[in-house]
Amino acid sequence: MKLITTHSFKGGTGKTNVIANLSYALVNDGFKVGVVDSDASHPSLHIMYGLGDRQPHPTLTEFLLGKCESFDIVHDLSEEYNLKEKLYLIPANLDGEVIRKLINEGFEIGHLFRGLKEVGEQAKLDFMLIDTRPGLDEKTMLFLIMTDVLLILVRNDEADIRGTKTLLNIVDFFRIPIKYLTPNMIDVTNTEKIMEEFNKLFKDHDVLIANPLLYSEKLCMEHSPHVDKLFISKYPEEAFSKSIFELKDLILKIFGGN
Amino acid sequence: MSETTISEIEDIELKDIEDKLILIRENMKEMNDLVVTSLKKIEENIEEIVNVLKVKAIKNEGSKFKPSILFDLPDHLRLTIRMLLEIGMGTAEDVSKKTNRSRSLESAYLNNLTTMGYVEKERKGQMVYYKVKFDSKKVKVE
Repeated sequence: MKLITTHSFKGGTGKTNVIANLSYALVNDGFKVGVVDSDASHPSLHIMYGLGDRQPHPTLTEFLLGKCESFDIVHDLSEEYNLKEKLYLIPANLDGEVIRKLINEGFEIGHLFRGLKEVGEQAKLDFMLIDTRPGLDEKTMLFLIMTDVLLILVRNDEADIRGTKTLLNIVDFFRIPIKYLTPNMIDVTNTEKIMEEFNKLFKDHDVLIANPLLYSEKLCMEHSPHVDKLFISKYPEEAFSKSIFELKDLILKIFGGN
Repeated sequence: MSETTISEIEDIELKDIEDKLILIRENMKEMNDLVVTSLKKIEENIEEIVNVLKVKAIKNEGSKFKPSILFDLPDHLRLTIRMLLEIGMGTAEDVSKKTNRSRSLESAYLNNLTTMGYVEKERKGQMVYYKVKFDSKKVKVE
């Protein structure tokens, strides 16, 4: 199993949206994928799949609180999306009371590690995708140590770019095999110039630069306020979806087909 | 004394000075090489001492593994612990296959990590298996 983690210096860079849509692209290509919402205090991953009103239970949050077993928190979405391979969602609980309890009690980092390792082995996953939150708490650092590919989301925004440079210096400690800077929400009419800038700005950093993920007005203005399905499954021809498929190809290329 | 003779004397003196300068230059180069080699050795020794001190300091704390300790670990141990996490439980041989370093080196590193309290070992017959020993203290959710 290969671990792919998204991270960013600032919030609002599109990590959750990217990882959810990427999971679909990988399963669509015949891989078994598990997607984990590791941001237990600000969960939102399940909403990207159109499950805002029917959040699957139990979740990673209950597992961290010791209320259920690791295999209970894996929810199969392949039928819902008419996919031939397995797409497993491991959500976190959006209920305020449960979040408060987890914040109060905390959890054992070894319990999280063992739980996700069990999930990966039992579900025979090809890929586990982890959505992290900004900042470096113990949980996020565990994923950074273990990840095979780190996708660092960055927007064309000065505060974001400066912060990302700092983040890159910090994550150097984790000896991550492959780090991709993934520019997100990039203006489709000005892509070449923006990417040239990114290449210049990050040339002295130990990071590769992935294809740009293009801004889609349909995604931001029409789709996001009321999500009923994954964007990529509903609008595969949109510029954003196409750039997610490109990112998927890039990832598969890294692993030589897998 | 003829002018030719004076010129000859000057030539001899100049040649003598030139020879001396060549000798000084050679000596300087030799000294420079010696200083560079010595500095490299001192640097290596300092790094080794720092690593030993880090191991001792962490051992004294009696701590177990949590991800943030990576910031305090020397680089070679960071790679070992990363690969051990990926394997879950394994021998020095298993880790060495992942790190592309020798088995004996990984065995030494795993023992260092065991001394620090971050790794525990279990003997099964002839084989020694290692796994990460997580801190059971609960971490905060931010």
